[in-house]
Parts: sequence; structure tokens; C-alpha cells
Amino acid sequence: MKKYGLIASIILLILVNAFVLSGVYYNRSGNTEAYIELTERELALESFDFFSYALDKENSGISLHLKMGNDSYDFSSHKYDWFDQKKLEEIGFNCSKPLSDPKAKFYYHKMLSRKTYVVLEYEGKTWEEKKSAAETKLKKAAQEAQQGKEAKKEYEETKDRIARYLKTGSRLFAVDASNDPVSLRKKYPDVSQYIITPAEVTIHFQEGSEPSECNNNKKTPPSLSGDVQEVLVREIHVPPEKRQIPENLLKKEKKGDLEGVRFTGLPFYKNGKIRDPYYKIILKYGNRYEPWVVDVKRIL
Amino acid sequence: MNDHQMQKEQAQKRVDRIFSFRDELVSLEQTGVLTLSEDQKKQLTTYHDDILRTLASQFDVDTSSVQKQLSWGMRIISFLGAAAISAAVFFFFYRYWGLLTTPWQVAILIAGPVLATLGVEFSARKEKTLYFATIVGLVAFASFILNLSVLGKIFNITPSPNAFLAWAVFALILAYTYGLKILQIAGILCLMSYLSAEVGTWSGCYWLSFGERPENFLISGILLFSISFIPHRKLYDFPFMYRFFGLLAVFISILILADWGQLSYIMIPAEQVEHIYQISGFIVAGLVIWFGIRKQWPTITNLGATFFAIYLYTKFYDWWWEWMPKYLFFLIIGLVAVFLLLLFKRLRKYTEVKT
Repeated sequence: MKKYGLIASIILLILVNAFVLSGVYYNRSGNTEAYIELTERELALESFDFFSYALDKENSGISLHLKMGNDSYDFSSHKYDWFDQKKLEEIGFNCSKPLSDPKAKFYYHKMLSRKTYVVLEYEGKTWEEKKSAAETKLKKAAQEAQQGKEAKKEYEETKDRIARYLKTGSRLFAVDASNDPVSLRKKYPDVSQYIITPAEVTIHFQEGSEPSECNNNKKTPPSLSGDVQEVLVREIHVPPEKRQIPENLLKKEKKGDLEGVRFTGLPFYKNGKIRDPYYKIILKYGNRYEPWVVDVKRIL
Repeated sequence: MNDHQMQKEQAQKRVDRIFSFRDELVSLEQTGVLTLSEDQKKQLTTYHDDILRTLASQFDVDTSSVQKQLSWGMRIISFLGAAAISAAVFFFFYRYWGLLTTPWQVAILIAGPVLATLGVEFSARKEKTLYFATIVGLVAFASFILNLSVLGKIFNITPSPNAFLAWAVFALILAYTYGLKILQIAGILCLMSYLSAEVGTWSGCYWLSFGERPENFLISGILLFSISFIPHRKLYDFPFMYRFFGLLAVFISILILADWGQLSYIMIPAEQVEHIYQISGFIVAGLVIWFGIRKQWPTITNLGATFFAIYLYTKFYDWWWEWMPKYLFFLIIGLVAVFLLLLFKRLRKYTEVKT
């Protein structure tokens, strides 16, 4: 019994590892699902959460955090305008309960997130829209600034915020979702601009509202919308042979030349001023829609 | 569990019986019910001493109460030692893995649990009490967790609940091979996570959301409890663990749902869900007490009784804490405790008569 148990446990270890590694091999062989060049703006060295930040000293590995523009400071009314009821139904959310039903809020609030595939667009139409929304907002703030001291102060703050957003904000946006990644790729064939990746999505119920100044005196009906809660692989490991450039950035931060490389919320600072992104990353996605770092280059 | 471990448990029971017999004999002699002649006493003492010596040398059993206490201490120390060494392995790897190339990282990650598993075999051969085997076994388990989670990190693999299944199977193989209960617990916890995640996906939700619905644990708890009915020919103590952890999962899930009904799958208002689970809690606790008495499983009876009291006190808190003067609240709690005491006393008497 003892002998068999020992053999069985070792065989299990070997089989499980072989299974995992064959999955990696399958992912990286054959078709390249996406081949894309991103920068520090989209793949930051920011710590993923407080725990990993606190254990920073203990971890000699380097990972990059995939940031979506939808998550950062937003200049449009809704983060995912495309993620409507029809899309939610396509993904598998049961939206059969009429939104006017008194129990609709309760029903939709109880729904849990689902797994699907989302399309991440890099430097595309969405980014252009965000840029132009930011510029419009800045113009509006400039006009209002002439009205008084308070408005001027507010304008200066908005200007700073927008400047930082335009220079450092992620240009990667979730633009579509489906349970069928193949059809998504057919719809977005450019592998150098669109990433298809597994993600967790949630449903939101928005209550309707009575006419008011906020909604241009129009009655808003209740609606459903989706939200990309999390891209399932958002921590991307930098292999040891490619870690030199991100490591240099971390060293600079340690020396005090730069600030906020690791700490979420204060990125891209140097002597109190906004700095340029430090590196660019060439990223590939394989058959299983899992990424890996192909190269890291310094942005000069 | 191996034969040696099984025999060790039987040997320990025999030793305990001998000591009980000796104590009882002294009482009988003092009350004059039975008096053995000097020859008989000598013969009996020699016979028992021989047995004790043989069992102690063969199975390393505890032959005194002091030894028993020390054994418990050693078990606790071996668990703490195992946890500390596992943490050391984890942090050591994290401290230096960035300096290694990917093939070396992978090789070390795979070699770690394999070597530790061989270490369990080595320790079990060298030491009968299995304290060191427990430490090495837990290190092997921790290394396997490190193995899969870091491989996932290195190769940016999408998280999967199957990792829990692999960890559970590994821990249970080691537990069953060497009779290591702590690894059985580790395996049960991983199996519970896997089953809960799988149950969670039945409704179509993403597996990592499984913790948001306590009913997932309720179902996995019932499944684990039912495993305890699979006959264990040699592993006398192992079914107990499935029973205990299965019921614990059921009770805790009910406790959570009885207070936070919005976490339930049931599509009715939270208050109604809470009422359902509050009533179910009392019924399940009552059934467990009854079942525990019937099957003569004292720990299960106590578990049922404990949760019965917890459910009751939680309800009292909800009803009365806000508006009732605190002295009255605690007085009622105290009186209920006295009432429960009387109830259990009657129950105890009833079971005594039955026995």
C-alpha cells in the first residue's frame, strides 16, 4: 500500500505538471492570436494590490499590470457604452425579467459575474473619442475660468488632470465581448491592434429617473449594462532574460530619481512633474488567449 | 493509512484498556468486591508489563498520562513547525526566483514537491511516530501549491479550479498512504473548494465567484459528509474528518445565510431567505444531535449542540439586543443556557438508560 501510494503521488505530480506545461506549449505554438506593442502606460509596474505591494521586498520576480483605459479617469458618461442588454443576453445573462417589473432591481442585483472573452482595442477609435472628450472638457473649463477665482483654480486642476491623462493614461479599451473568441477575431482581424482575452463580466441595473436638469429634463427608463470586472490574466510575468529595463526603472525609483513606479495612484512622476513612459513591451497572445512577453525595449 | 499506523491505534487502545483495568482493580480491592491473591496479582502485573513493553517498543505508544500529554504537545509542535517550514520554502523561492532562468524555475518548482514526497517516505521509515513525516508531508503539499501557482504566474495561465482538485488528490494520497491526518484535513479543504467552485459554475457564474454564494459550500459539505459513509477498512479515524468538516461547512453556510439572505441563490426577498435558513438551522442541528446520539458519535453530537446554541443566541441578539436592557438580555441568555443544560442532562440520562 505504502509503495503504491508513494508511486501514485509522484506520478500525479509529474502528470499534473506535464498537463500544465503541455498547455503552455499549445498556447505558444501555432497561430499567434495577437502580437501587439504596448507601453508602460498599459503595462505598468504598479503593484497589483496592497498585499503584493507590502511583500515587494520579498519578491524578486517582475510582473506587469495590464491597465485598461476604461478603469482610469473617465471623460465619457459611461465606461462601456457598447455593453448593453443585447450583449449581456448574448453572453448568457438571463435578462427575461421586464425592467419595469418592481422586482427587476432585486433580480438583476443578485446575478453573479460570468466568464467571457473581451476585445481590447489599442490606440483606436475609443482612445480618440476619450482624447477629444478630454479636450472639450478642458475648453469648457477654460471658458468657465474667466468667471472668477474659484473657477480658475478648478480650471488649473482640470488642466493638470487632463494633461496627465493624455500623457500617461492607458490607451487600451474593452470594446466588445462574446463567448465565441473566433467570431470576435473575425470581427476584429487586426492582431496588432486588438487583443482577445478571457474576462469576468458583470451586469448592472440602472434605475430610471424622473426629468431633471441632469438628464436634460427627459425621463430616463431603467436599463441594463455590462461591466468588465476583470481581465483574467492581468498580471503578466516578465521572464528573467527580459527583465533588465523594468528592473532599471525600479532601481531609479529606489535611488529617488523617480516616484510612484510601484504605487498605484501616483504613476509617472519625476521631481514632481509628469514623466514619459519608460519602456515598451511586445506582447503575444497564443491559442489559449494567454499572453507572454516577447521583448522589452526602452523608449528613448 | 498504512498497516503500522492502524496497528498503532489498536495498540494504543489496548494500552489504555490495561490502565483502565488496573485502576478499576484497585477500586474493587478497596471496596472489597474482589481481591486477588499475591500470586495472581504478580502474574497479572507481569503479563500486562510484558504487553506494555512490547507495544511500546513496536509501536511507540504512550504508556503513561505524561507521555500522552507530551504526544499532544509534539503534534502541535510538528504542525507549527510544518507551517513555518512551508512558509520558509515559499518565501525563499519568492526571494530568489527572479534571479533564475525560466527552465531552472520550472525544474525547481517540479523537483520541490517530488523530493519532499520522497522525504515523507524516508521520514516514515526512520521514525514510527510520524511527527517528522507530518512536517515533511505538509512541506510537500505546500511545495505543490507553490508549484502550480507559480507555474500559472510564470506562464500567465488563466486561473482554474482544477488546481484545487490536483492539490486535494495529492494531499489525500499522502494522507491515506502514511496515515497523516493533517494532510487529510488539507485534502478535505481543497476538495471542498473544488466542489464549491464546481457547484458555483452550474448556475453559469465564473468559478472565482463561488465564495459569494454560501449554498455552494452547503452542497459541498453534504457531499463531503456522504464520503464518510464509504467504508474505511483500515482507516478508523478518517471518516470522522469528512463528517466533521462536511457538517462544519453546512452549519457555517446556514449561519451566514440566516443572517445575510441576500447572499442566497433563492430568488425571494432576503428576509424570507433568512427565515428559511434560521428554521433549517435548528432542524439540521437537531437532526445532527439525534444522528450523533444514534450512531454514538460524541463529537458530532457536540457539534450539533454547539451550532444549535449559536443559532439560538444569534436569533436572541437580532430580536432583543437593541431594545432590551442589557442586564435582562444577559439574564435571558443565562436562563436559556440553564434550560439547555437541563435538556441535555435529560437527553444524557435517556441515552444512559438505552445503553
